[in-house]
Amino acid sequence: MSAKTSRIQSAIHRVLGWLAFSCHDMSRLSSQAADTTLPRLTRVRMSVHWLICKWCRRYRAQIALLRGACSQLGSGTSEAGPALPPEARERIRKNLCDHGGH
Amino acid sequence: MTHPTENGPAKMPEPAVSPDTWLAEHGDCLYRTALLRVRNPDIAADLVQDALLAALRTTEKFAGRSSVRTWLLGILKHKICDHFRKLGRETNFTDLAFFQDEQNDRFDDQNFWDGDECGPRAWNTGGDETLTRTEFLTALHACLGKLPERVSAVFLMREMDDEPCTTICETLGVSASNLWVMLHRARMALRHCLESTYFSPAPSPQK
Repeated sequence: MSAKTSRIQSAIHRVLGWLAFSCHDMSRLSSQAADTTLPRLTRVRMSVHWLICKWCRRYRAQIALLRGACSQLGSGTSEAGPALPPEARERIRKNLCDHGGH
Repeated sequence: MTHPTENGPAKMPEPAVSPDTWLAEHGDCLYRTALLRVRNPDIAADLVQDALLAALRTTEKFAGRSSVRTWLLGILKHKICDHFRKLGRETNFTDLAFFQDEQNDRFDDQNFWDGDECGPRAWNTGGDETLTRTEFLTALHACLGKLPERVSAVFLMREMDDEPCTTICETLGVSASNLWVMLHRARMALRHCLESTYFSPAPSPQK
């Protein structure tokens, strides 16, 4: 990147940071937004940042995707992961029998 | 177990009280879920047993609103919560190194993502299909395994069980502010791990 470009970028970042948070702040705030309602002005400033910053837009979308993926893991439909070991299975089966199951 | 009643033919109880069937059809799924949460295979197997025993005792409360698997997973979830509650408020010092990693090298000196090399890359997700693909879920399992245990417990309770923050704080003995830090760092670390191990896309095009 040329010195001139990086000075321009630096100036844009200074304004953006004052107006609408740094990307570092945005990563923290995007996470917090998933768990709580942020103040309105904060949300407005975040929207401004997202308008301009593709990386933070991606970050927001990607952590949302991960949320969906983890929710999927919890739904019990996935086959990914190890099976119940045979000896544990047998021990459980025996204990279930002892407690009155058939 | 069915038996004729004075009101007429016997009704099949819902679900059929057959723990052997539950174990055969749902044992692996319950085990995988427990193992993801507690990481220790013996504890995971014990939790599966506890859940199935609890299910045996409460079949009359199963209203048939959901599938048997969903019902059993719900019971397992409570057993996992009980497990974490009993562990109490331990501080795991190995977690502190994780907390200090804010991936600062990926931000420039004004705290913006430092260009296409360091910022989040475009992921080729291929639509909803990605989330169910076995390779993706295996990669997700692996990345979750890299989180410190306590952070993983917090994260999964939030993202997998959708528990409110107050419940997580109470169950795991963390303060609200620590909870937010843990969730933020977990999301950041997980995103980065999946990007570098699974998505690995080509460099982004020029903006």
